[in-house]
Amino acid sequence: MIRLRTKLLLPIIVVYVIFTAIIHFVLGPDMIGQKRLDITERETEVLKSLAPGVASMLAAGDLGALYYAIDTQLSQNRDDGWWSIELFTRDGKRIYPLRAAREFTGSTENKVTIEAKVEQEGNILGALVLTTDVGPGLDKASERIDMLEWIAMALFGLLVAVAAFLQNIWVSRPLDGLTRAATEMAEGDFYAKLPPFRPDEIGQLTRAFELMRHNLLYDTKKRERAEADLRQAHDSLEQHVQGRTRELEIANRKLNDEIVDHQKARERLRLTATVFDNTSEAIIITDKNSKIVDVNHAFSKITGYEKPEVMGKNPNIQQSGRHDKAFYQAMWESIQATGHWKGEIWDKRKNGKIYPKWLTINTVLGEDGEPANYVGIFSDISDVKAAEQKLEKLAYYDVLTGCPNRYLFKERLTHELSIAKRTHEQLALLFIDLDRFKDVNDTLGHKAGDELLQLVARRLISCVREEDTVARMGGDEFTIIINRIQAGGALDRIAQNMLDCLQEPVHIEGHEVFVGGSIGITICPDDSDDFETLVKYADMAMYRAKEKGRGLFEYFHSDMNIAVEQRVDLEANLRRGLIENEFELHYQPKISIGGGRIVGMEALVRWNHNGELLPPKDFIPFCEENGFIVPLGNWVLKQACQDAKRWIEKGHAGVRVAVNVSAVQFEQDDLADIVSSVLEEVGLAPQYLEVEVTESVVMGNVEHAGEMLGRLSDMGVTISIDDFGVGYSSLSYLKRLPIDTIKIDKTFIQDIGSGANDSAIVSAIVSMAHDLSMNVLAEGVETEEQLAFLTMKLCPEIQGYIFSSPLPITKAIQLMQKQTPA
Amino acid sequence: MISVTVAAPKGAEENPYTVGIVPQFDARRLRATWRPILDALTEQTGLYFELKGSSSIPAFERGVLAGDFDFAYMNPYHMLLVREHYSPLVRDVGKSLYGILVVHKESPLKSIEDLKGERVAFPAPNALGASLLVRAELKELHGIEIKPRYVRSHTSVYLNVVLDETMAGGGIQKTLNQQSAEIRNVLRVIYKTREVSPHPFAAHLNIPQEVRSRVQQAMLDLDGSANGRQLLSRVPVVKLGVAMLEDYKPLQQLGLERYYVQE
Repeated sequence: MIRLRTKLLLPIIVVYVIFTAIIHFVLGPDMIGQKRLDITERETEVLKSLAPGVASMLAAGDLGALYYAIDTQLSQNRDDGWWSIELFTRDGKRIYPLRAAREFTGSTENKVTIEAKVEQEGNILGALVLTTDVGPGLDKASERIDMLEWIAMALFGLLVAVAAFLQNIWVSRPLDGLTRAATEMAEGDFYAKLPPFRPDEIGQLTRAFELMRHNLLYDTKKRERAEADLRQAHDSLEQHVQGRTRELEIANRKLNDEIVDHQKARERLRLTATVFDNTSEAIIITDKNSKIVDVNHAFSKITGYEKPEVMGKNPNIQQSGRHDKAFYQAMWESIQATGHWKGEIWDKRKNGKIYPKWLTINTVLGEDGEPANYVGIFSDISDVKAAEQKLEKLAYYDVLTGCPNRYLFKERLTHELSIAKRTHEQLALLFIDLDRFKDVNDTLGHKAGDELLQLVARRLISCVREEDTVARMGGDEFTIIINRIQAGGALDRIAQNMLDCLQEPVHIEGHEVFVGGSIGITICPDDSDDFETLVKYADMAMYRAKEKGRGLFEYFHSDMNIAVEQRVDLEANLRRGLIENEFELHYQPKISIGGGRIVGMEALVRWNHNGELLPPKDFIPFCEENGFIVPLGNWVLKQACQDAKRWIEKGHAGVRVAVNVSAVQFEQDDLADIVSSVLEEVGLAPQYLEVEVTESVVMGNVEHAGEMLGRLSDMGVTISIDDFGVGYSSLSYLKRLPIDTIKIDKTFIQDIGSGANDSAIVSAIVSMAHDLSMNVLAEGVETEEQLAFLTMKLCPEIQGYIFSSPLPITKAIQLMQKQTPA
Repeated sequence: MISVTVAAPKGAEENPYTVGIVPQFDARRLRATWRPILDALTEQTGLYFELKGSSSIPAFERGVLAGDFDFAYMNPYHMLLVREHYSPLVRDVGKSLYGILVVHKESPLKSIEDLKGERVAFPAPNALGASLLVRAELKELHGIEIKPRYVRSHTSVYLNVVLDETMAGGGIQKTLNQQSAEIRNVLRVIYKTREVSPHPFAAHLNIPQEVRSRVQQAMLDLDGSANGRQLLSRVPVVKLGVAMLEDYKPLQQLGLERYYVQE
């Protein structure tokens, strides 16, 4: 069937095809031909305009400009299809391009070659040849033709759409509506919607259809009612049969469920028996009168009792006797109240050995709700207990000496204090510090130090009763708790005895060492009954003993508190000083004797405190003691680097800044990292920084010093050894360290001329340094005589009042400007 | 009527020293390069300087020959011409100038003797390295006469040689290195002239010795500071050092003025 709509559209399409064919086959080719002519003409003009410039450049030999001109023209016209330009001289030699022009790869029918003469003042010098691809230009023309065809297609499309739309509204849709209504009526639906009644031929047809449908509907309704009555009678019979079938099915399912339950119960019993026999924990079951009714295999393995031996017996046959009556009473009270108990309990095996176990007891209630059985489950925890004890030993005892450590000491003292309070007895706390322990450690090494501590601990323990406690607090500090002091100078005797013991010479690794100690004593409750306070007082008393001289003991006295408070004040002042910029750096120049030039500046810290400029010796020792030297040292390092940067920027690049590093700073593992980050932050190159470390610091821990100096030296920082000569340096060690400069201590320099011995030492140090390829500087040079001596001994550098005292930064820079030509 | 005016002393803000710069680049670039350097000198010395422009190299030559500038940055050849009036202060000691001769790679030429009577391309008559030095040495040291062809630029020189328009060409190593591989690869260097000192910054002999030393020291200091180094690198100068008249003696020995073409 060909639809009405299709039939109507056919003539329109035929007209469209004829129209498009005319555009495509007649108008199109005409337009493209014209375009080709236009392009050729235009390109010829462009090429001709290029020729005169090319001619004059060729005549002048200015080939660089010629290449530039043609390259530019070519790159500008590439989009128009310009392919290549060639320039030939009259005798056919190619001047442009350097190599043969690229081969034409476009379609050959689009290739157009144009030539232009290159002439100057009537002389023909050569010719420009342009190869161009007209393809892109022609493509533009054919695009325009395509566009025309598209517009035609769009117009016809619109026409077709309008015609189809009108045909649809007026003819197709009403006819479709009637067709659908007729089909639905055939299937029994008499209420389908009909198309509206329009005042045309199709409207009349719709009206006739409506009348016919009304008559048919009346007959159909009557037949349907008779059918419904018949169906109802059939349905009630069916329902009765279904009810009986369902009752039978339910009975059957119940029977099956019961069978499965029985199987599950049997399985559970078997599993319980297996677990009971195979678990590693002992299980013991009694009746309500605590008579054993069953035990498992693990029970026999742990206790040593076989099952028949214990059946009917009370579990208390295992009691070890370690727990009192009250313990078992509490256990049974818990079981009766809550139904269960668990805890650690010591019991006896069959062989009489006592062991710890972890026991859980649960009550099993009978059907009457009264206890029917008790079930005990336990495991042997001997191993766990042993491990616990070992841990306790580690946590509470000092590994080296075996003495109680700081924690156990605290526990013991707290415990003893509470007893002393109850019994109104006196208790003494002794604080002991060894006098020369550090020297032993530094000179003989840590191993020797450890051996010494072990020996000291043994001697101290031998001086006290067993009930007293000797504890090691760390380092070379020991504390002793003496309980129940008897009156009449007993404590004096004990303390003196200890000091005598400590002063006995000690033999370690073939050396005879004298140590000695100082003791501080405080009494509870006379001084205090508080743990912290007592320890503090004993410590203060010990310090006082040290100050008075070594090998003494001292009782705490309340005026010691005041001295401590002064120290606390000083510390607070120092911290505030750092925040409020009370510290400043002065610089003492280092001079090269040969050139008379300043080669370095040593930074020296001053404290501007309460209007007074304090030298380092007034506060640095205290800073080293309480650790404040670390922040202060970092401040000095940063400030000195900033100052150095300032004078380097003013042109004094030959002057490096030297910063002293104290023992405490040097012990810090991150010293090298701090130096590196300060240099980076300030923007100072490492070669401008010199670090001065005293000889005793380096020799105190040679291994650490080697590593730390190595890291600093690798970074590019210069290393000096300060105060050289007063310690006991080993030359073999010095040789191995990356040391750049040795600074001879000023005590040797001051004595030049007076004692022949010191002069000899200076000469020896200078010549030794020369041998080791190290630089030498003499500190504290004050007189012409000293200078003359050093000059004669070829000491290269000096520092001292003869040249300049330490100066504030502005003065120091002025001095550099005067001394060294910037 | 007599009016008495007291002139401000030379070097003061109202009466600055004049400075001439050989115009190798356009005036705007010269000003952008040299003005900051002169300001830095003022900061160092307390003296004031004024840039005095020249429209072309010949105009600059006329100025420097007439002693118009108190200070001048000139090419080494100029230094020879004005040595009676000017004294060199500083120069670039980080590099030296020399010229080269190139031929086509497949050229049958065996020695520079074969160039006798041949056409040789040069960028311009008075280009110091590429032209003056090459032409003078060929004649003075080797007695070789050639037919020079001046083709306006270094690139033109190399192209003329590549296309066999001339037998050889005079250039300098730096411009040869800047050529495309297509050109560079078909050329070979057959001759290198002796090295001469680059452009001096010179002072007029009328300027008091003390002022000359101050400016010289200030220039050297400038080279030592990071900021000054950056300013000088735009000139371009690799490293400033003290300049002596002796540095330019080798040029004089070549009799370079005979090869100089007055434009």
